[in-house]
Amino acid sequence: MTTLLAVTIGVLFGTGAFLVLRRNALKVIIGLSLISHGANLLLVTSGGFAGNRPPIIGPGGGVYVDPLPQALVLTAIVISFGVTAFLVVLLYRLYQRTGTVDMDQIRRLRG
Amino acid sequence: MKALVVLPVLIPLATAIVTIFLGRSLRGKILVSLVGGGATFASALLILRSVWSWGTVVHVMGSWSPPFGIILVADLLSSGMVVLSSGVALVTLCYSVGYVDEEGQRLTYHPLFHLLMMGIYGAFLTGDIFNLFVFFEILLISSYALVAFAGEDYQLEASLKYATINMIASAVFLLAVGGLYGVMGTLNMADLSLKIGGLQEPGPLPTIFLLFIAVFGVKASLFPFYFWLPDAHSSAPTPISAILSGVLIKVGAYSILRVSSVIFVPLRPGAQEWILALAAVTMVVGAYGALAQSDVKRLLAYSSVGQMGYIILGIGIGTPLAWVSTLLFIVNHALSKAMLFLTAGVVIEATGTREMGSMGGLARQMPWTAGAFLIGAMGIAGVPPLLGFFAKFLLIQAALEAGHGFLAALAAGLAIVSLWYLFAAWQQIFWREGSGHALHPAPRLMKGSGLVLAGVIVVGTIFLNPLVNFLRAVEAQLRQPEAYVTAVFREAPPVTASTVEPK
Repeated sequence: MTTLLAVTIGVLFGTGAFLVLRRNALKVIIGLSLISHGANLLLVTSGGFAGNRPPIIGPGGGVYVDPLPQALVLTAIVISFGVTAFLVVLLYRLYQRTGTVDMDQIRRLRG
Repeated sequence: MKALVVLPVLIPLATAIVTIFLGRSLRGKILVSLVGGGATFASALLILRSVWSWGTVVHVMGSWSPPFGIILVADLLSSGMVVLSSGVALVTLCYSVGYVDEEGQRLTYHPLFHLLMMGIYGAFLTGDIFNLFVFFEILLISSYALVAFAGEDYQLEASLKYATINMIASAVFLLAVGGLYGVMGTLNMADLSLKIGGLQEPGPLPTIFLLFIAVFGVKASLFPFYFWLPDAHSSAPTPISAILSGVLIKVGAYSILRVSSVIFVPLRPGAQEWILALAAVTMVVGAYGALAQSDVKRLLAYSSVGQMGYIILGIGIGTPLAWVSTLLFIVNHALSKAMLFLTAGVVIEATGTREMGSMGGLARQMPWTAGAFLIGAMGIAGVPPLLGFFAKFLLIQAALEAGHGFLAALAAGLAIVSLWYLFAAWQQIFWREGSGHALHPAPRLMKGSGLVLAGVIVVGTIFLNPLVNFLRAVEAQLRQPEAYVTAVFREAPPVTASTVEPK
């Protein structure tokens, strides 16, 4: 399970980094959200994520997984969702004003 | 009494909410906003006073005792930073009333400003690493919006760049938090301090520590991560530039100081070389970047990069004297740079340009502004007898005592470079033959705000001795992480997390 998660996190970070280095700002934003998904997944894994165990202690005790990282990740997901939404609006505004999402051209228009 | 610590977070939040719901009433919004800013400053002073008399104040949020719940901790450093930043924020808020157009103030300027300040105070006060992340995000997302506030192309682009680099930094912050939690099983700073202090083998902790320094370095514009700053700080509306440069980048420096003085105490020597090297390069990059600028706000922004280099150099050297000098730098830079941005804003408003080449001879028309700018510029450059001189003097002395001769020489040499570009800027704007353009008079409120900060700098210089004594007390407290831990766990019996770890 941990190996699978490690590979997934690696792939998310890899594709995210690739997209962030594009000139198209929309791809940059998608890349950013992939990177934050990777970070979130790593945070879940750090709590000893084990697939089928619940993050609460049942009536009879029993096995459970540390709930704290899952609570943290919920917060982090909400935050990254908010920031991504803001970035998309910002880019849309920039697109309306300059007619392009190519970062090089935007910089050139600025002169 | 302990609930007092919550006020610097609660008052801005309440002010922001009320100003959102005041609709389009301009007078009401300004009134509520100024009262909120003043109340925050007053509460910050009260907190500082009670911390000074009775020691570190800890407030347990929602009665979830540490290390499980979130706590707010006000020690001398935190409460001092809150006083400093809320004071600068109050002056800047008065300035904004004159500066930001009415439509902007009717819309979301005031709520965003208070949310930004709430994030900053929260970051200073929190005693939990993940809560620090949350407050970072609050201050960041408000500052993205404020940088792009007037909606010009260059502001949108600067905000996009600023948001992009900081979103990556947030992901790295989460990685560091995840790593730390995976290794130590707790995120409470005091609990981490206890557990890391008792470790035999550091394991992956040095890497995690460096990740934290990199993340905070992005906020503090440490060398490889500084390139967003000149754009964001110069494109933002002027009062926001003052807050970003005067207060917000100090959050990065504060966080580095906090994690290295409370959490990663045993690992500090290992990271020292990294911090020193990056700080030295930051100083050089900032000074030479500033030399090349013709736009007054970009010049001030690059100068901030250079000054952050000095601040972090002091943290890196790590002797008591170096930390006192770092704290003095923080005080001096927060006041002087905010004041410089505010007065530069007055000049830009009057001349209608940001190019220093097309200004000139303004000392005759605006003597007070010229005087204030000179005090700020010389304060940053480190001309005696201003605060900045003593900060640089102490830093160079500390570097020599710690055997870093090269860094001392570099700091001294770059002080001369900063004197050069700041004096050249003052000379270009205010002194030489004027271009003879007609000036638009800037609102009185704007001119007055800059003068208030200049007055505070002069008062600080006169009362240097009490100030340095206070900073020595702050530094002495930072040397005793045990006292921090004791203060936190006095609030609740020290439950060890191991008793409830998953089976």
